[in-house]
Amino acid sequence: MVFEGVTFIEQAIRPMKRQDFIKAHKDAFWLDREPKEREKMLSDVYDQITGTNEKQPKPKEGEGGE
Amino acid sequence: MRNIRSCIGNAFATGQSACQIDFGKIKAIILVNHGKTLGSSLTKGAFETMCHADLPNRIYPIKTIVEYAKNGGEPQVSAVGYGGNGVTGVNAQTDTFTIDKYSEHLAASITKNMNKKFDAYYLDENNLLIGVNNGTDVLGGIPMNTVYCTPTPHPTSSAKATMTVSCCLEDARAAIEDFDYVQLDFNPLEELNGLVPVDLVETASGKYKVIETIGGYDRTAEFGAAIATGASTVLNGASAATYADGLLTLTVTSGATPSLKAPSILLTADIAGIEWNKTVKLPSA
Repeated sequence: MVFEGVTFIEQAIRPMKRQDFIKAHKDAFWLDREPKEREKMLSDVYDQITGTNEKQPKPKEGEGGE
Repeated sequence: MRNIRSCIGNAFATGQSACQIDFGKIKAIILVNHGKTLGSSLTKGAFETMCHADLPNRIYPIKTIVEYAKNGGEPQVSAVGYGGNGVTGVNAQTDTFTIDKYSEHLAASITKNMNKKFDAYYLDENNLLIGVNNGTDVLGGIPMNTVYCTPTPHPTSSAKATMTVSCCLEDARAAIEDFDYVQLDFNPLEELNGLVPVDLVETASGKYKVIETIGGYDRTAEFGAAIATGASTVLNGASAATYADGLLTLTVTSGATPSLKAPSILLTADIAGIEWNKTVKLPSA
């Protein structure tokens, strides 16, 4: 999928854990934006690729993300 | 009943085609792997697809030819005692073609493959594709024992740098006897482009350029946007890509080295004429 000018390769991203995905990409793209904003954008990308979204119940505290 | 034989020499005819062909000057050679053919679907676009096909079905065009010289392929005669001359066969034939411009890429590639057997088609200026009748409905290439080049890489006082490509026929007599051709209804010359090996070179962490393997010419501006847009189709080992300011930014999946996929896949993303050779990464800190 293409998001804000960056092409994300879905089949490569699906096996990744959310935090690994964000860590791997946050210093590569959109460097003109604040790190927090980049993380949020990457998190959105991850949700769209893996099919998770805000409507799904959030994991309870302590369980962590994917 | 005993086995009988028929005289194969009696199929003799001296008639000519009702529509005589004026053979034009050769403009291109198309090499295929020995035993392979161009197939029967010779339509517009098919040649570009075949130039990018996966091995062993890829074709290798060489153009533009500006001169042709035939050496050999002549009947040989000799006499026994005081008898008259009799034919003994046809001597070995080499077709030598002068290319319009010296190419270091072409010279290197042909020289590396001098011992490989190819079949060759010749394309003339009238879009006539020349080969041999191989007993099927599909035009066959002329079998070559070897294809070699003779480069003159530097200009002389009277001529610019040039090169010739010589095709040594496997059987000159068979090439005459089985001579055949197909008239194309379009000019395929524009889509007959061989592939150039390129490297993905990391210039800064995560920043890559597409560089020709020989000579290091930078092709990133030409292909960068298409590679980034088609990343999910054309890249191996990457999880995201973008292109800006002459640089491809790639994030690499854990432990992987990014690379471009096969030319046949690149072509589907409008990336034509290149084949990935290697990836050069920055040394690990």
